[in-house]
Amino acid sequence: MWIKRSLVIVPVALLLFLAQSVFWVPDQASVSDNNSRLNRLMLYMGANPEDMNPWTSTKTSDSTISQYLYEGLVKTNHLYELEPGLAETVLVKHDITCYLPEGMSEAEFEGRLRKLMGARLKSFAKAADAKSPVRLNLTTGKTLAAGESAPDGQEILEIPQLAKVRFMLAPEPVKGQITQAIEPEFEALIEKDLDRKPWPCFEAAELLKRVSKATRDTLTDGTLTKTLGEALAKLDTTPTSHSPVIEFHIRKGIPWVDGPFFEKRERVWQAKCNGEPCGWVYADSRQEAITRLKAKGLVEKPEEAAYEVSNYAEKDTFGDKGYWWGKGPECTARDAKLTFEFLKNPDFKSPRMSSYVSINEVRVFKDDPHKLEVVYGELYSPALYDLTGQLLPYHRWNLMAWKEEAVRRGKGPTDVGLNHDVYNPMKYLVSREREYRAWPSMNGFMVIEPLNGDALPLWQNGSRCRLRRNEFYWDRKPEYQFLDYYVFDPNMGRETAEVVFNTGGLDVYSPREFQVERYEAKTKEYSVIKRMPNQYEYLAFNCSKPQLSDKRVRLALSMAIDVDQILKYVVYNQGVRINGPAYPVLPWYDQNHMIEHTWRSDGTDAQGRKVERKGKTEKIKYLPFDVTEAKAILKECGYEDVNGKLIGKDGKPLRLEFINSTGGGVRKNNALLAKQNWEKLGVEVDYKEYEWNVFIQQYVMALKFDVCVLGWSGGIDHDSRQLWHSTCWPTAGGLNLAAYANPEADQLMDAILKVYDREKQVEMSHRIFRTIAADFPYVFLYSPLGTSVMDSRIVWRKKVGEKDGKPVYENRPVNHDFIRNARANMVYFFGELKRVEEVPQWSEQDYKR
Amino acid sequence: MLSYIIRRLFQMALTLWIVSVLSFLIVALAPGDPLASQLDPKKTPADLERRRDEIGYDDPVVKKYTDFYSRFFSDFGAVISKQFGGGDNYSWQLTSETSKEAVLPTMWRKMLVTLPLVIVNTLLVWSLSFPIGIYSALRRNTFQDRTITVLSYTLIAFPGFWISILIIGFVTKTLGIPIVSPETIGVELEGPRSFFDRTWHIAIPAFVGALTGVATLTRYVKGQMMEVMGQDYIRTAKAKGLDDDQVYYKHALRPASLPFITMLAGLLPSIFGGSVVFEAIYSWPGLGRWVFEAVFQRDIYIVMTSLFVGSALTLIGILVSDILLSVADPRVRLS
Repeated sequence: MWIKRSLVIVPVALLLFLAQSVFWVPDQASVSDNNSRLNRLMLYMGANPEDMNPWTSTKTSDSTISQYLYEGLVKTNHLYELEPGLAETVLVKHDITCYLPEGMSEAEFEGRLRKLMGARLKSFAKAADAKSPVRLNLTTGKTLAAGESAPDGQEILEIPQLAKVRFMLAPEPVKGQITQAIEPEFEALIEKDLDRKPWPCFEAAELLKRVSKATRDTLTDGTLTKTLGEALAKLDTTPTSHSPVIEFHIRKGIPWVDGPFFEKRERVWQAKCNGEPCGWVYADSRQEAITRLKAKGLVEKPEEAAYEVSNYAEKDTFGDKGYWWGKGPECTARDAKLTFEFLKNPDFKSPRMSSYVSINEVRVFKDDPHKLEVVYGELYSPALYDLTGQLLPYHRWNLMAWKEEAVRRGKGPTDVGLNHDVYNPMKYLVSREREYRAWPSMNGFMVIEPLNGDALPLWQNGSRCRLRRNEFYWDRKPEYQFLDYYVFDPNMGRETAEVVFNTGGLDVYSPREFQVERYEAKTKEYSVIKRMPNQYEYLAFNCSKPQLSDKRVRLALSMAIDVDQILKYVVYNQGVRINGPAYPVLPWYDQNHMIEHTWRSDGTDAQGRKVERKGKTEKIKYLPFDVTEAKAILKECGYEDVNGKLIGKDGKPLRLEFINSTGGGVRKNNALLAKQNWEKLGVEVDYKEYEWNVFIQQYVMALKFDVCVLGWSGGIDHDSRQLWHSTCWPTAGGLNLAAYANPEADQLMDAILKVYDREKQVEMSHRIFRTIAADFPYVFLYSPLGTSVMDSRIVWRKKVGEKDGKPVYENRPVNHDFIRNARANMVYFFGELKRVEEVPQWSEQDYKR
Repeated sequence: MLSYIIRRLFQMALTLWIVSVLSFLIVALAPGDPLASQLDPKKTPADLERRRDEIGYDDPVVKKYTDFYSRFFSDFGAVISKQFGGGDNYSWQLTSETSKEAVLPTMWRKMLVTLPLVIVNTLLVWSLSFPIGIYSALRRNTFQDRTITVLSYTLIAFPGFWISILIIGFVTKTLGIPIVSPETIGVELEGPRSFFDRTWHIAIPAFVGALTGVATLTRYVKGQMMEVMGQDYIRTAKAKGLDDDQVYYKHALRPASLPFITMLAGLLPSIFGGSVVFEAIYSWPGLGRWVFEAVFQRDIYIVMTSLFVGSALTLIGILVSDILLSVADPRVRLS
């Protein structure tokens, strides 16, 4: 009976077929010991890379890849400090336009400035002549025309108008350093130097002193001050305008790398139309290339346009698998100019536009294509951090190249019913949809290896992305040829990665907190490196709620949270406790901050004996978990403990609406322990979880909560206004989720933006830190440690010197003191790692030398 | 038959339209703005507003609906035209909000990743369930039958993802054999080794995924067989002196299988969601995971396209199973 037989044979055959496949699978040893592993580093990521345009991408997975592909004019070093990147020197100059101090000639003022500023004063010139004095009738408050006289008995006051001068303060360039000559307090400096007010004619109070006694007796000082104030309001009385100018000298000889190309080298022609680069043409001869280029219809009259085509020279290419990359144009100031001008342009549609709108002008110089000046309209020191952003290659992004792609993709002028004169390719092929996102030109130390054949994107979405060493990289090249990133499921990524890591398929793994100890015990197989990332976790109080507007209540509620318990049981001690609003890995965090606290209750020591402390003021590093003290503070605020419940003066219990997003994880555990702690204190806690989008928009951003649990990560600059400024409440579109408002903090946050001196920035940010921390808008919990576990065969190739002009590298353990003490993310060192055949034996000194 | 199919196609079109409206409303009116949820201190409200304008977030729902379906059918037309040698210059209208990849071609590519898993899983479920179910029915109330029953309920009770995690732990940690992802990570294989390496990586998730299906379907098969075995015509066949195999596999199995033909309707849409858990656990970049991630990223075009295509496949599956049923069972007449 064939049916019966097949019912047995088919499943058995299928199972046997599947089962025998196990014998074909490479085991752990062959996965981790095969030769190809020596020439690559294998990593993973929990999301898909999608957009390689650094200015339109929004995801971490995009920047995970693009950080290897591009470099910016400025970069951060291993200590998270800014230093020149593509630029050899970075000078922050200060262009000041000001009125001449009253009673001084130009020469006198210049002399004073030279004495005051020394060699920093690079130029000085008159910017505008003085206008005729304004003649003010003090009785009527009217400004009189030239020659017009006032009626008898009415006094005319002449308000002097001053000439304007413009001068530039510039530092001496130092290679490898960012030097600055910004004088944000220029007015105060001049006043101190002159020992008088430099521009008294711009102040009503000063002008009042020039009015005759008779008139002052008649009209009174109040009336006159008002009249003078109204007259001055019509004049330009801002004595000084400040424009920082950042001058870059881009290193010479850094090429853009184009490709990969799948056609033979001889068939690929770099094309230009009317002098503007416009992509590539594939043709067998120059003539055919030009014919094809003409046929693209890039200009109104193609026959009359000038075309140029050129091949890549053989020495300017690399690649060994049938496809290749070519050395494109040199990276120069025009790339930077285009990048910054595009970023300001709304048509470019960059989500980061707001960081660049304060750029007034970008200057390039015909005689020096590597020199660039970025002129800002006002002092804004975090702008330097924005300049760490990557550059866009001019030859791919100029409007002719943009139009070429639009024409090729059926979105050109004729396709959209326009002529070339009015056609703007930015409108019809939006920046984030250009091929560049999947096929970029690069100047970083890696390029993208094609895995999809010649199809875009070059990487296998959802599966893996492979990078190849850029053979034309200007600085230290990695010693491996490939860098593989495997893409795992966003939710199960870590678990998958561990499984693959344990079978030898990955070189680096980031364990969960509870796994760290396990890996630390296996010192022969793994190296464990811990990092404090720029991230911290917190519970935010909504300070706009009546019961939380008193900072003493927030203090008491903070004291009722056992943060050490959270650290121990939620993150298994893989976190660093914090006491204020900054990432502890950054200099803006005040490591010496102490909380000044006056005890309201007596305490007990470890043995349970009473400790007298009531009324004493102490400085403490972190708020202790002290329910007795918390209750005493709340009592002071009007909350009585009635049968274990805290009842306010109005007879209502102290109640908190505590919200969180769904999804569990560390934040849920943080929230549940906090809820438990507050309930023990006697607070009624109404804990709710919402889907992330609903949580953020309908509750957090609408300030419909008392407490929420969240965390911050990211930015490394010192501009904290979005998170703490009183103008940045969520209801106004900001991210001041605690609805925090403190005029002193506001003033400091505004002032620090004008400060370019790093030491002053640090000092001011510590003041901001202390001011906010003392108001307890958050329960500052901890900064989680980021741990990387590496296969022991991965070593750090440390540069130990030079021989015959070439650098000499030696192997060191990856958890060498230098790497352990660095602040930057571990990825910073990935270019300097290498896998070796045998696990090295390290001596104690190897970790230090 | 033809008039039946034409009538059913019209009904399908109407059903699809209703599904399209309802599903679009559910997705479009879901609370929360995917852009505003990105808490990024570097982005100002103006930045978010600009992006919202760009994607037409604030457009009326009707406009969004018509925009979506006109783009969908335009792309769908291009897919069909490509099959008949159409041009390659078509600019895809529906692109993912996050990856900017064209939705329909990506869906096809992802489906090719998922398909081997779904096919092997389905083959295992169906090829194992029938012999076990029949064996159990023919030996009802014996030790073997009770063992199969207990085992079935055990497998139904244990979730596949839990078994997967245990198996992954055992196979990778104890045996040191790679198991996750569609192929071994860390080594580049070619030829038959590559083929069988991929087979192994399909085998475990497909097998674990099939366990619950086998357990459930076995119960159905046993029930159906037992019901048919109690019919008069089976008794007659036995009385006629036919041997047991003739009775069971010729006269009983065919009518007992008829209800399972209707279950085939669910096979087509299972490509979308049938393996999402296993794709996640075993890190397969397949269709289910793609759709699942799109839901969380509020990638409306992917979600809507998947819903629409999934609904269409379900309706096609139902139609096909109805037609197959009429072929398999002469008593069923399509009219």
